[in-house]
Amino acid sequence: VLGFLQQPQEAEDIAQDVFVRIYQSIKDFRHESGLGTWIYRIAVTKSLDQLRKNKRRRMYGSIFPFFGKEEEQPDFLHPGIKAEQKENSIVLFRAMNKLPENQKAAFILQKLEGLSQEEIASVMKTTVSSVESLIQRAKQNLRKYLKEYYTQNEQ
Amino acid sequence: MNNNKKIEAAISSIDGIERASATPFLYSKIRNSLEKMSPDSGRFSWNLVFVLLLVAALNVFTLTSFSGTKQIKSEKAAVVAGDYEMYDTSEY
Repeated sequence: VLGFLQQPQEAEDIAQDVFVRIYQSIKDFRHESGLGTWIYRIAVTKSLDQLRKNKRRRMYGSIFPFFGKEEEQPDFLHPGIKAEQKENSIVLFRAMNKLPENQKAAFILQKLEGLSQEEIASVMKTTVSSVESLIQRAKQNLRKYLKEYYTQNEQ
Repeated sequence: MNNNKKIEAAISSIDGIERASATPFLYSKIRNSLEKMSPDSGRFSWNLVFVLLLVAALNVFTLTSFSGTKQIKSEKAAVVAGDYEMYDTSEY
């Protein structure tokens, strides 16, 4: 959740929602997938919903200042990053925010959560080849965004 | 360092990342919200019953009003049809 939202307080609120949702719907769990997969699916769905809400809020904020000032997301430093990788990871997380939803989900589940492609396919209810393609495209897009960033900040 | 190396360094910066742990307060927060949910579940169903009754009452009211309006409309329509000499010619 933290990898998706990149805001510790918001991630905690969503994590709370995820557990409440699990509690409410555990009776509907049909054992079609593993319990872990099911929980990951709820967490991914909730996180993506929240990202959409934030995006809408920013959009309305930019059009109608009445709804609130448009705030730029602060740089995110994941607590599990090695000290020597801090600067690079901040740039990468900023680029990850530009990825389309499904590419971002697949990339985060693989890189941050360490899930296999089979597990990601199960969480995202898709095929392994689709996941492979999503991760491939995510990396291509990240390279493109990072190239733009480093070209602009070359001086 | 050229840009390509910087890009690859950025992409591999999250390799071997450690899982973020939740704050110690998260567990108690979750517990509190789950505890709050239980007594509310009974009240929620009564709210639902109240809303359903209200919707049913409004439906009955709307249907009754609508059928009255239809009658008035058809009377008005007959008057307008008579004024403009619009008769049903299908009988001839």
